[in-house]
Amino acid sequence: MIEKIKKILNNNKKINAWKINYSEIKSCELFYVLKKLEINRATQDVRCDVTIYHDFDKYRGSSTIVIEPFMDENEMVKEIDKAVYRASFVKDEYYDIPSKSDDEMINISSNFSDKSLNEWAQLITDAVFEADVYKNGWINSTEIFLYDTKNIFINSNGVFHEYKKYSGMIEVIPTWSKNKEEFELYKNYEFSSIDLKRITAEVNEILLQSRDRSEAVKLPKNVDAKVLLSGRDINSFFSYFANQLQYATVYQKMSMFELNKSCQGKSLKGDKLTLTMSPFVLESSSSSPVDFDGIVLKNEQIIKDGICQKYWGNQRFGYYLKQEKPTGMIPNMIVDGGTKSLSEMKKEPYLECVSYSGLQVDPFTGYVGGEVRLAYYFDGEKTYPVTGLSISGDLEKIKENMFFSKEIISRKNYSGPSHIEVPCFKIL
Amino acid sequence: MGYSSFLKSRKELAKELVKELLHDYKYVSLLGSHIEGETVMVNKVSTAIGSSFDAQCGFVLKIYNGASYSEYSFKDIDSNVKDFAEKIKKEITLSTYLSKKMVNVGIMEDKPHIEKFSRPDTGKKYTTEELVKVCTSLRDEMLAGDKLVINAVSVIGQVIVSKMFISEHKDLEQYYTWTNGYLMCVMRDKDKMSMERSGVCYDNMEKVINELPSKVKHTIDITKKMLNAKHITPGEYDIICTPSISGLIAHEAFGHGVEMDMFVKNRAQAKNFIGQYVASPLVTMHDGGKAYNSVASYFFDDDGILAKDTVIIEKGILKKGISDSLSALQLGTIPTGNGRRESYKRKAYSRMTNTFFAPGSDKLDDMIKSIKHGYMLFETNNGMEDPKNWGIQCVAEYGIEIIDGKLTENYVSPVVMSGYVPDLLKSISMVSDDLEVIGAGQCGKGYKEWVRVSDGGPYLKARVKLG
Repeated sequence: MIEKIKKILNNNKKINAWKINYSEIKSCELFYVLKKLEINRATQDVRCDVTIYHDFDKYRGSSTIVIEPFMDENEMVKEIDKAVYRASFVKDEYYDIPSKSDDEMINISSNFSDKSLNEWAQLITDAVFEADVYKNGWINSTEIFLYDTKNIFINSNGVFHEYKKYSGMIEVIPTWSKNKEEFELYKNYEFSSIDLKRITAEVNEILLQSRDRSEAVKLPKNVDAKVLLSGRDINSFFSYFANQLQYATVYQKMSMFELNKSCQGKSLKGDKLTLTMSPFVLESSSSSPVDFDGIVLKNEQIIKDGICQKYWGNQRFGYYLKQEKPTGMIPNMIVDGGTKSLSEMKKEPYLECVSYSGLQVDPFTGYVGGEVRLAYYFDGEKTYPVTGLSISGDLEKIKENMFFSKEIISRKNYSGPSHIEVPCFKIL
Repeated sequence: MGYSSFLKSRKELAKELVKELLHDYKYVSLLGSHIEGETVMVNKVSTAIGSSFDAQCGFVLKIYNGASYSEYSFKDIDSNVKDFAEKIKKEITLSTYLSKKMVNVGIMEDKPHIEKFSRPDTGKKYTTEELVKVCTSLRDEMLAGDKLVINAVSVIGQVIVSKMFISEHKDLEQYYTWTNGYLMCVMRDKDKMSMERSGVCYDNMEKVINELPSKVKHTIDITKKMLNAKHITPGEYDIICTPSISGLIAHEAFGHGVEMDMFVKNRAQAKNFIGQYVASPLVTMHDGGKAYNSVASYFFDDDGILAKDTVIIEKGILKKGISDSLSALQLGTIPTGNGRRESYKRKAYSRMTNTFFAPGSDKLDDMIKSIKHGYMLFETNNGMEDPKNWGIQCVAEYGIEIIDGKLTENYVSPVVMSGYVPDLLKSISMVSDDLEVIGAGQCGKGYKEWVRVSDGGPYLKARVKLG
C-alpha cells in the first residue's frame, strides 16, 4: 500500500513534497461491571494519513487526506488529486519539511511484547481486583485498554522511521459505602510498560481515597490555608509554561514569555522552575521517538531555574522562527523537584487537593480552576478529608510564590513533583 | 454526494458475514460507518483544508457469545467471508479464565426492519475555493475590527454521515449531514489576553454561511469586554441562564445522570428517583435523536435502534432515563435509541443526543427585572458531571452583573457554578418562552469517548453558588 502511494505521489508534478504517517493498530479491551465482564472487544485497524505540499507563487500549500487500505490505485489517485486541489488554496508562508538526519531514535522500552495483549489483559484484571478487598468499598467498574501499534513515517526528503509503540489505559471507578450512602471517585491510569504491582497499588490508593470521600465533610468557611495540588491533573498546571514557549504561540505573538528572561516574575520567592520536554517518560502512553513530521525527538530543556531557555514545537513554526533545527512536538514534560519535602509542606495548615472533576488551566491566560472532589485539610491540629469545594487562581499571579515537592511522580505525560504548594488560591 | 458508495459496495458481503457468524452465534449485528466531509480553517498565519475531524470508515461486529457480548472492530470485510469469520472468532474468543467472568445477559431483540433514511443538505453547494473565500473574508473582518486583535480564526466544517446496520432481521441505512461554523477572536492589550468564540450550526451549509457574518461584531465586542472582565466575588446569587448555559445545566446536571449504563453500574442517583420531584415544577427536559433537529439528530443509533424523543423530566418529576441496547437488556427496559460510539473502533455507551429544557411562559425582560442583584450567564466553557453524588460544576465564559433589575456593563469571567443538582434544578423559578438548541458541542464519557451533542433550552432564572 505504501509503495503504491509513494509512486502516485512521486508521479504527480504538482506535489513538491509529501509525508506519510502509517499505523497498524491492534487492541484488546475488557469492560467490567463489578467483577463481571460485561463485554470484550478486539480491534484491528489501519490508518494512513498522507500530507501533500504544493508550492505556488511564494506560498506552500498543504493538505492531509486519509488513504484507506481498500482503495484501488484509481481511488488513491483521485484522493491525492483532491488534496492537491485543496492545497492550491492554502497560502501559507513557505517552510521546509525535515530532511534525513543522523539523530538516533530513542528506543522506547516496554515489556508489552513479552506476552500477547490477551494474556496481559488477564493479568491486569487480576492485578486490578487484587486491591478489591475491602468490606465497605469495592470497584464498581473497570475498563482495560491495551494497544499495540506499528508505525511507519516516510517523507519525500528520504526520512524513514519504523517503530513500535505500546500503550495501555485502565479506568477504574471505586465506590465506598457509609451509612447506606455511596461515594465514588475516578481513576484513569495510563502506561506504556506494564507493572502489575503498580496497578494494584494505584487501584488500592483510589479505593482508599473513595473511603476518605465517604468520610469527607464540608470545608469550614473562610479557610486561610495554602493549597497543595496533587493528583492526576497536576500535569495541566505545567502545560501552561510549556505552551507559552511553543513556536506557534510565540510566532503568533500570543506568548507572554521571552527567552533569557524569568517566566516566574521579577520577585521570585518560591522554587525556580526547571522544565524539560522529553520524548520518553517512564509509563507515559504519549511517549514517542519521532513526531508527526518525522523529527527524531530528544530531551529539550526549555526552562532552567525559572529562566526561559528555548522555544520548542513543530517543524513549520520552528522554520518561521528561523530555528536551525526545530525540536519537533515533544509529548512529555519532566519537571525538576523543588526545595521542600512533602513533610515540610505539611507542617503548616494546608488544603491538599487530590481529586478534581477537572483541573482547568487556560493555556493562554493562565487562569486555573476546578471543582475538588476530595481534599485533605490540616487545620494546624488535625487532618481530615473535605469535599464540595472549588479552587481558582491566576498562574501569572501565583508563579512567584509556588513551591515544588522533592518527591517525584510519573503520571500521564508528566514526571515531576508530586505536589505543588500554592499560597494564594481562592477556595470556595 | 449521497449515501456512501463504499458501504453500498460492502452490503452483500456484510450480510454474508453476519449469516456466516450466525452459524455459531445466536445474535450477530454489524455496523458500518463512513463519515466524510471537509473542514476549512483560516487564521492569521495558516489555512488548513482537510477531512472532517470526525472522518472515519470501518465496521464493528457485536456478537452474543453465549453469556454476554463480544465486539470486533475492523477496517474492511474480507471477500473470503468464511476465512474472515474464522479469524474473527479467534480474535474475540477469551481464555476460559476470562470467559467464566462474563456476566449472563439475554439475547438482544432483533425485530424485522428494513428501511433507508435520508436527510441531505438541501441548500446551495459550495466548492472548497468558495469556502476558503468565506473563511478568509470573516478572518479579515475580525482582524480589521479592532487594533487589539492579534489573531482571528474562522472555521466551516461539514460532516456527511452514512451508516449501515445489518443483523439477521434488520437492514437499515441512514444518510445525513451537519455543518458547523465558528469564529474565534484573540486580543492582547499589553500583558492581558482574551479569547472568545461564536458559532452557527445547521443541517444546511448555506444557512451557516449566510448567518456566520452576523456574529463577527458580537465576537469582537465580547472579546474586548473580556480583556477587562473582573473575577466574580464568590457567593450565592440569583442568575439568568442564557440558552447556552441552560443547555450546559441540562447536559451536565441531569443528562449524564440519566444515561442508563450508569443505572446498570449503580452509579447514578437518578435510578432511585424515578417518579419523584427532582426539579421545580416549571422544568421539563427532553433528549433524543428525534427530539430536535440538531447535530445529534439521527434516524437510528449505533445499536440499530430508532431514535426517539425521550421526556426525562416532566413538570419537575423524573420520568425515565436514556439507554443503549445492552444496558436496556440488563435493566429489562426498552432501549431509547441512545447507544452511541465515538467511532466504529469504540464501544457503544448510553449517550446523550440533543438535550434541552422545554420553554415556559415567562418573558426575558420580566426575568431580568425580577433580580435585585445577580448575574446573567453566557456561553458554555465546560462542565463536569457527578451522577453518583449529584455534584455539579459548570463553567460559563462570562457573566454580566444585574443590579436593580437592569443589566449593567460589569462583565465577570470566567464564572464557575457549583452545587448540588436537585438544589439547582429546584431553585428554577422562571422559564422563558424561548427555545434555542446549540449544536456545537462535544461530550465525553468520563474523560474519553467523544461524540457530538447539542444542548439548550429557554432562559432560566435560578439561584446558585458562583465562583
